[in-house]
Amino acid sequence: MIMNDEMLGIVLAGGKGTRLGKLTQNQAKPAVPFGGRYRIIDFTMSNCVNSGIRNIGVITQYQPLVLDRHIGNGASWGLDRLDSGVTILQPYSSPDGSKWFAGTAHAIYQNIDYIDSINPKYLLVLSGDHIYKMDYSDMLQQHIDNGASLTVAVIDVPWEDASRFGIMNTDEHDRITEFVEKPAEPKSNHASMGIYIFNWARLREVLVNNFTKNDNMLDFGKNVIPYYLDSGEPVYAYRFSGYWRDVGTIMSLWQANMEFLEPNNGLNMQDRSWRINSRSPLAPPQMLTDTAEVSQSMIVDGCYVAGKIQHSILSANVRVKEGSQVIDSMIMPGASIGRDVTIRRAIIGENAVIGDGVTIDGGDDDIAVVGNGETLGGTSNEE
Amino acid sequence: MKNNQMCAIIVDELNDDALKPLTNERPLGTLFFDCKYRLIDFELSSVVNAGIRNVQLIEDEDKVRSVFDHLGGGREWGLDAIGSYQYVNYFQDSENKKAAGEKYFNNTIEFLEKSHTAYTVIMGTRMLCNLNLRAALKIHKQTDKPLTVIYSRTDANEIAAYDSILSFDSLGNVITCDEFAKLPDQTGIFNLSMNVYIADTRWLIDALRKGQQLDAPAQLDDFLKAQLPKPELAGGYEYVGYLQNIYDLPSYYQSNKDMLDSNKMNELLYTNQRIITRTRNEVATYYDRHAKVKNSHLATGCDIYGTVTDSLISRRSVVDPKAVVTNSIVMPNARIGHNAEVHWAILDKNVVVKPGVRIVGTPDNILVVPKDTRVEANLSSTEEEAN
Repeated sequence: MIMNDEMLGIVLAGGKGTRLGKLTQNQAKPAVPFGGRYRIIDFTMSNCVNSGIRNIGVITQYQPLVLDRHIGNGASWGLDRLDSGVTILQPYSSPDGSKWFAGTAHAIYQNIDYIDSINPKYLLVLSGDHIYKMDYSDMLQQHIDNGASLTVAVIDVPWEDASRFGIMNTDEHDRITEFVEKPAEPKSNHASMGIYIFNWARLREVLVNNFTKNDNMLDFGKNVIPYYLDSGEPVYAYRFSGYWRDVGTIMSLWQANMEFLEPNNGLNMQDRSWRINSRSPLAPPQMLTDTAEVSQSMIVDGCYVAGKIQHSILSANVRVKEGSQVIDSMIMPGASIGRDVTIRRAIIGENAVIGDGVTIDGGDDDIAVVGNGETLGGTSNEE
Repeated sequence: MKNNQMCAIIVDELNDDALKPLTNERPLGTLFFDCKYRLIDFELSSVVNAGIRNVQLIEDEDKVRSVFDHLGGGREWGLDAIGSYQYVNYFQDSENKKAAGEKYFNNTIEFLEKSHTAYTVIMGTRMLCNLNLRAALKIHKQTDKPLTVIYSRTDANEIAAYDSILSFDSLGNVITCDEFAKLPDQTGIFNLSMNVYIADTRWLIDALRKGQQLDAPAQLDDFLKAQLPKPELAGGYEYVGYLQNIYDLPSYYQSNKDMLDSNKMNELLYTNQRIITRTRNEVATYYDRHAKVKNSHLATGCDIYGTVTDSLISRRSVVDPKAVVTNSIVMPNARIGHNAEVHWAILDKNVVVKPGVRIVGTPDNILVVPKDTRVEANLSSTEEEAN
């Protein structure tokens, strides 16, 4: 493991996550709850810390409140130490005008002052919306060994899916020769994971030079990588082969949660040498009553369960009253489910309230979604 | 400062023989409670919920490792912020100083002086309750007495022989404070001292200074007990919420089982006073396809493949397929093997029950399996069953 501040981690967490619909109405995609105990960004944050990275900048823009509060001073990941820290980077105004982030690379450009203050040799750029475990120090080692200016992590996707991804065509030494966004006829199945290691001095130069002239370097995928390839920079692929899921749609978020329930899902969450940390809620233990029936499910602190839970995940402080059943579903923190409710193939948003007798069923081909804080059906006052 | 009216001294329990082997290596204060708490969380939570920033703990120096392990820097309780501090003192310190003829309350006096608070709360760790200290302070301020003792109307069968029983005159002054064992009639309801006091800090410092010159008891709780009956010195504040006096294994077992009663649980854990404990990063608890869990509490990080009823399972415990746990308290990181059975038992931390092994206690005789034990043969609390 490379243990120094050679590499600064930047998590791009400002995306809107439009395809998650109601679930990202009031929060950015990386803040969406996952797996009962986590928010999506926890995987990236924990990977950074486990890889020996001591400083992380989290770039936010869209609906940042939940995310800001979740990250706090970074203590949940051990980042509140003398030699480490997490900094939330939000758009700001300055004498040059407002610094909204118009793209991923533009967000880095707007935060040059922060990056310079850490003065890293390498910049690790991450998106905060994937579920995976990865050792970035291994990727850095390969980046150094290759003498690369940019290394892009890639994962081999099924050929039939390749046209949905940004595809990296490589030579026999894994040097990237061509990058094609969503190719109709893909020449390879190496999909970009949106994880980049840059030599900071070079990237800085490229960004400053270009933004001084015009705004044509807004996005890593659309602008920066093609520019690097065109100008002959050494750009390499880092091959990753573990569990990795993009949870950008309702269906993929639901699927990844259902996979999370499988004991051998490839994430190996029980591995204490690579723990995924999160901000822990303060809540009593989970309570299952005499009428509870729970199977193939995950439940966490603060839950009260009097109903039937089958192949589902209950996040913190969820209540499921008697006579209700929750099947093949993901219930987000604080949701309250009344009596005689049926929930099947659904995602129930944070603090949603489902009244007695309501049925929510996504059907065999779809997933039903109840938004954060949404109330469905009448609720009774008796507690 | 409005928030800084009180400081607190939490006096852990020296008298814990009746809870052994659970208290072999840990003080009563760090005994596990309801899957994820330690008993001292309730005192600490009462203290920080009342805005108290300065806390001194008095601990047994031989058992302090588990206290530091749990409290760490005090972050969860907000005691690591600027302007807050916790400070640990030892029972042995005042005893040793007294034996050597030194001023044995000086450490406590120094803490009180540095805290700059008008009032001081002193509390033990044996009385499990959720106490609103701001309300108690309000009552204390309304009296013109320097000392208020908090008590509960408690049935004789929930009182230990060495507990203190109070009586009051018609004006509310404490007039007697007697050891329960010494009372002529030991049936009925008594004014049980909860070993929680609110004192005027000036008076307390003064009394401690005088006390250490007059050979007063070296332990703070004994010292205060001896003060109580003094004329017009102390008043009482009656606590009426959930209380369990934890002084032996049955009372400890019962306090945990009480949490399976939702009224009692709500009274202790779901009031507007949050109970704060050390936070842990664990995965969610997994319930297998064949798991059967009824009327139980579980912490996170467990894997349940077998049957659990009327029990409390702490974090990172595994109940293997076809294993059965009933009416039991399982502390962290236990492994209950395939086909094993555990009934009416307390398993301390890291206990492994080998496959097929039966651990059978009875409601009147809860079996306790000490920390780190690998149970390879059947255990029973009645002779006939043991073989």
